[in-house]
Amino acid sequence: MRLLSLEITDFRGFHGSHKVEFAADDVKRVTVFHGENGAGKTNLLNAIHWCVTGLFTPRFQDKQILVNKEAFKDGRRECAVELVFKQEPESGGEIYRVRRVASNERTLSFDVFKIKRGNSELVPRGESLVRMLFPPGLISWFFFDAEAIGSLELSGSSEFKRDLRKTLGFELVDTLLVDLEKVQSKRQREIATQTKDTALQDLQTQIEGIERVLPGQKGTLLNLDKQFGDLTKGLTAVRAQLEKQPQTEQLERARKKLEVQIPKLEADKKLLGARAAKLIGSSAAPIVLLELTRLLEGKLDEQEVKGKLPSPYSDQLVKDILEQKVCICGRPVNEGSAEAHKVHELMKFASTGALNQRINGVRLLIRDIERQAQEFPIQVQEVRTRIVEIDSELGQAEEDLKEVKREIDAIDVAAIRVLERESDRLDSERMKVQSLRGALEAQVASNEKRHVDLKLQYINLQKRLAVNQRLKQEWDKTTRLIEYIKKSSEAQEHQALLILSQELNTVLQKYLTKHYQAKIDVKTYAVQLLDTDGRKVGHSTGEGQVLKFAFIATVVAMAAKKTQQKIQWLSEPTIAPLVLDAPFSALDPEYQGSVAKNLATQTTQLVLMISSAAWGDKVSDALKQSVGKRYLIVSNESGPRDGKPIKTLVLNGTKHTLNRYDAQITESVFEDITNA
Amino acid sequence: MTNVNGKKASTTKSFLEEIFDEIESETFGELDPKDQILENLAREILLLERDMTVPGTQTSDASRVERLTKFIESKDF
Repeated sequence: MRLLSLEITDFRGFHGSHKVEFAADDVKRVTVFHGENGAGKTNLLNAIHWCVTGLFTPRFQDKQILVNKEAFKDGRRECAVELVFKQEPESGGEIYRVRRVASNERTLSFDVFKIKRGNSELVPRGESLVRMLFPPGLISWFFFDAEAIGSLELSGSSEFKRDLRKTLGFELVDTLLVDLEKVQSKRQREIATQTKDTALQDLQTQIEGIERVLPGQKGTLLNLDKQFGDLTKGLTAVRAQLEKQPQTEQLERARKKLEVQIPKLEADKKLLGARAAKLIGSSAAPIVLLELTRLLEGKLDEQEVKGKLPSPYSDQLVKDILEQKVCICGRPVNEGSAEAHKVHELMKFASTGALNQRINGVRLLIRDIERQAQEFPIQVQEVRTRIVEIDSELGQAEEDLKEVKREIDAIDVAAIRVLERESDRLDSERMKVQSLRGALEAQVASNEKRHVDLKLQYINLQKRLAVNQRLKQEWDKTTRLIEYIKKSSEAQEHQALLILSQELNTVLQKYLTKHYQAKIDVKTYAVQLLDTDGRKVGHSTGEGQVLKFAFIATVVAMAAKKTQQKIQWLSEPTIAPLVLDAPFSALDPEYQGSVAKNLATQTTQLVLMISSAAWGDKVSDALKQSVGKRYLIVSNESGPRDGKPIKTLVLNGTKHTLNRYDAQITESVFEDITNA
Repeated sequence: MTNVNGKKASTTKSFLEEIFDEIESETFGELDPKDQILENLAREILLLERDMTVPGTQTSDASRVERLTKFIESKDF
């Protein structure tokens, strides 16, 4: 089946009626919707999903607000989604129109029309027909919210196994086996009644007791598994949203830190200013003194040059001459002689050690004044440099504080609180469900074991009793048939999983540059990627993400392809388009091109909802030949731009605007750019 | 499991194909006569179940059990 067109009226972000057409021929089979986050890609996916099933994808939020808010303000209380699709020629080629109308509270109508020669003819029990065309077990694979691909569980949860089993077509044989067990139980009751053996009757009553409660328990367990899965997906989505929100606590912490830092810097600046003033004050004296001391030293030098300071004669030299009575020139200096008198006279000018010490002291003082006079400017400069640095730090801190305050003001605290409450609620519900599930699992296991034991006891006892031949024969026939179907079903299941593995590995070979292999566990259905050495490759790695895309594509291809003919008991093949919301952004850029190309070739029709960030050259090139329809989902904002960004997308050299401001109303609109 | 020249990959592929062929070879003709009868019955009863559970039909659980009982009764095996 292929989608032909979709009409959305007052649904979520879409105000009024909007119609889009899908590329539906064999060559041009890809339709691309380009839109930024929040433009309405997930709403579009859910419009299709909801129209067909009445349900939404797990990540879809505020399910109770379906009617467009602006339309609601205008008094309109209904929204509608209408999908037109065509069956494959081999299935009759019929064209159907499916229309679902709802208020915020409930679905108001769901109608299916067959379109014959342009006229619509209401299909009785249309819901059944749609369920047949879009099997509920398959729908989540066909209309896939790829942004949640990270939460796709390939590790073999019971919910995953159940869904995949349904997808592979084992639902019918499972139902048959349940019904045949009832036939067998009915026969056992007849035998117990016929033999009138109270022990056998008692055993059968116990068996029937377990058979009455066990399906309910299993059903509840499956529901709990589903609830647990949905709650986990919901919780992951809410937590991801919370992570994207500005972190109030962090901002508050940053604000407080800056508010402490700024006064501290101001105080430091003040202190340094005072220190600089003090240094300047202290440096005045040495600088002035330096000039005077330089004059003094000049005088000292002058005296020294003139031979006066210190005296050319030391007092010790004069004393030695007088004592030895010989001059240093060799002439005698006798007591009372004119020479002796003259030498005695020299004593007046002779220098003493004390004088020399004083002169040296003065010189040291001059050096000290000189040193201080030189050091003070350096110290003052250092302090001034630090003041400049503090000024800069202060300016930065004040700017940061302004920014943090602006961010704090911009935070929608109420929205964050709502998300936090939702996260707490989901977490708490998830824990409750997990606990209930654990308890119920134990009960189911215990009842199953008891059921097997009781049946064995029944068979053993029955063998010893005189049982009516016809009844015994009918019971035996039923038992043999059940055993055969179980055995065959197991073989079919193994075969189906082998084919799935083969298909998956064929797809992976096309997607991955590395020689990795996927393996599916027959018991748990867990899908594991193995590297060239047989080591497990994590699901969160780039290759692990590719495995998830490959798996979806394989399931969709398997649901449609003739490989099903090899598995004789499976239900009819389902051919449906693959509708993916926000694909590729989860993938490493190296894999985006190959995944895009192979998705387009593996499916009969591909609808992609994609942001400009995920639309790279590789994706563009890979899909170039197969894109038949292309739309923009433009966000119109009624508020002013206020410096907010205008987002654009360049396609084939043409720049397209993805959001506008100052619009009449806030809404999402489609723009057909197929021929642009 | 696989190396660059694909030698081991082909081994894996052969292994899968082997199993696949093995299962494929279990065709109807190769089943023993008792299993052939059971296989025919299984296919028939599966079709009956499909007709009773196809979307749009209103067959109750009790009614399905009744019809399956009668079906088995009607067959001699």
